[in-house]
Amino acid sequence: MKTYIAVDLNKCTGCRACVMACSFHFSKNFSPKNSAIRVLRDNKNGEISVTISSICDSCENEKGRFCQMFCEPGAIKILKSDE
Amino acid sequence: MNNSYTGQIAVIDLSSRKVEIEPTQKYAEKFLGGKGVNQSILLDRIPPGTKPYDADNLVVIGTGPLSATLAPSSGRVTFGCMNAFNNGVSESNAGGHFGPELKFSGFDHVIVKGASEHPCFITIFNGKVEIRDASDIWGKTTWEADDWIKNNFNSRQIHTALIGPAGENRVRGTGVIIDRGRAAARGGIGGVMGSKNLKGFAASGDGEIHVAKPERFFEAVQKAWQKLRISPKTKIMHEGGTHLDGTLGANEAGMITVRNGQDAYWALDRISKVDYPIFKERYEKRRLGCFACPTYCSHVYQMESERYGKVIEEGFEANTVWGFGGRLDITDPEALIAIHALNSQYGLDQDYVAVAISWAMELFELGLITKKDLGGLDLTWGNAEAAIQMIHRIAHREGFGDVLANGIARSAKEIGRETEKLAVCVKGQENMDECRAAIAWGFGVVVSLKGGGHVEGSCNTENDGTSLEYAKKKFGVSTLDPHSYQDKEKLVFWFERYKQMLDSIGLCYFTGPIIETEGRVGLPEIAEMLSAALGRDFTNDELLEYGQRAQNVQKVFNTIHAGFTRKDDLPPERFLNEEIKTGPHAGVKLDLSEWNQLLDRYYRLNGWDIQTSWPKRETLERLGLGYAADKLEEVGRIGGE
Repeated sequence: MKTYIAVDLNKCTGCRACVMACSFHFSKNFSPKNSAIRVLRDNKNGEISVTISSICDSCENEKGRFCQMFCEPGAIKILKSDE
Repeated sequence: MNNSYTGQIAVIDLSSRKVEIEPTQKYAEKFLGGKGVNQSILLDRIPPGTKPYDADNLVVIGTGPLSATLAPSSGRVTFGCMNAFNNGVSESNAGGHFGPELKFSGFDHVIVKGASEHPCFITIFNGKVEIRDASDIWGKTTWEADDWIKNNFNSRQIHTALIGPAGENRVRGTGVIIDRGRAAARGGIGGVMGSKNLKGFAASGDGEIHVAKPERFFEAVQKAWQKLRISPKTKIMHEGGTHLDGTLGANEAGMITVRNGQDAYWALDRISKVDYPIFKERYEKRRLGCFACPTYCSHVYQMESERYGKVIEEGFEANTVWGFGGRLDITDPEALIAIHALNSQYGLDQDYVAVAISWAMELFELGLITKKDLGGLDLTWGNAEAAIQMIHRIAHREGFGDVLANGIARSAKEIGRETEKLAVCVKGQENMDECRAAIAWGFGVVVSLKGGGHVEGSCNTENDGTSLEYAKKKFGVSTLDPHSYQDKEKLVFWFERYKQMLDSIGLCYFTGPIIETEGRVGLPEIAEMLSAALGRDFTNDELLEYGQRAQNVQKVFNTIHAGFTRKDDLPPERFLNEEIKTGPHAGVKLDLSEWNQLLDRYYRLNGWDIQTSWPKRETLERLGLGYAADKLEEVGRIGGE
């Protein structure tokens, strides 16, 4: 069973904690370029966009999914697929 | 780097248009980062005799060793310069995402010196610093300029820190606005940037921030997040931020000044009109978080108003309710949103604007100024339209707006006729905070080195439900009665050191005791995160000592450049002479004799001279600041026995 990450943009606050957590999973350091998640803010309209790249491995070999662990508003959900 | 600094300070000379790089380390060991390093740089490099708008004044930006990591609420960025009101300390910080972006782009700090011949702005993209022509955005609002920059570089990853027309026009009370909505504004850095022909900064980067001990850091961060998760205050901040937390409760605590200080309790039928639930129902578009923030207290308010048109804006806080609600007696929610947005667009310090206009409203009420002086404006209490017109005039320095733009302490001296007594200022700067009903809060405001404001030594401990047992153990105080002066120096001394340290490492104050003294993230959690990030162990006491060191650097700066002495730590006259009229604290005013005794105890605790307030050599040497004592001796202002 494969898992995917879905983000509820109404709940997301655009804080980028998930970006940092994801970066730490992959690299043990903090950088937007080492993260599978990219969060951009449109402050003019109060909107947020989130993209998740194919390098996401659902935090294999970790104790939990890091992005979800640090998503305080609960915007990140894990979806499962039989594919 | 094998620690969480980028290791680089960018030094940008606008006069020669040269950029140099200095190592962070020479300042970081003694001052950690952020405000501590910023202020140390200002003390080292601004020559005596400099005035705020001289090219020798500096603009310094700071992030901290926990900035741009997974430490909770690590998005703060702090701006320092010589204070535009009083030649003393100015340091103001803001949330958002500019600070982390600056660090991802390769710099812990930025120093701007000199002045540009023509309007310019500075881009810092992935380690490359460039001074660029700002002729397309000079004269534009922060919103227009933010738009132009992001469109011009076609990037939404860019974050900006910009001044508006008010800063360009050297209005004293101006700030720098981060991404349209978050302001670092006390102390007038906007006008200082304006005097350098500097519109602002745009940053973007993908650099890596390393911590010395990754697994230990990750564990420490998880524990800190958990502490915030279980804090009861987090739920309130999620729900409505400071607008919810700081309205009705603050009013009952006597913390909202009404009509320029005529009272410190806003009638319930009036304050209820601008309380958070009304805004939530009518105007709240969404919640936003600053960088890596589990508290996410920020709102986006959106309105389509018949009077004010369509507005979408972030950053409306309790201060807007206190300043333009209570202080000006405006009860129209849409007017408050419009006013807040206008302050952000012009790059004005909203605390300054509220105090200046409320002063003018009281002068108008008393007949000390008339409609003729005001170019026809009817500055009656609560007249939102007139207040908005006056904001336009302040920003553009038109008519009486020009008088207010100079700062009311200066203008009151020129006008005379009792107007000085009504100018509610601390150290020559407009003071928005009420000081009568809670002594530790008010004392913290008045002794604040940057000239007022409740984010240095002020605390909510007298009113936030902290148990006396806890306070005795933690602070050594024997009472938390808000009206009592006893032991309040101990509270303020602790909070000042804590906040200086916090502003030096890059965390938001809302992680900790300003909003809940007993819970949330405190010294043990910070010591653990910092130890893991930097690879050397910090103790709780050591962290407070870093705070005290930063505090003393600023005290020395104030002593040398502003010439402040003990008299500058006395409260605004009105708080000594006029009782609060209504509400739970009716009949209360400050007592000068008690205040002076409190000052004596506070100076002793700090190791400062009781007569003059100047730091003693032994105090500075104990903190490793012997060189600062030398500087004081050079100007003949060292504390004695």
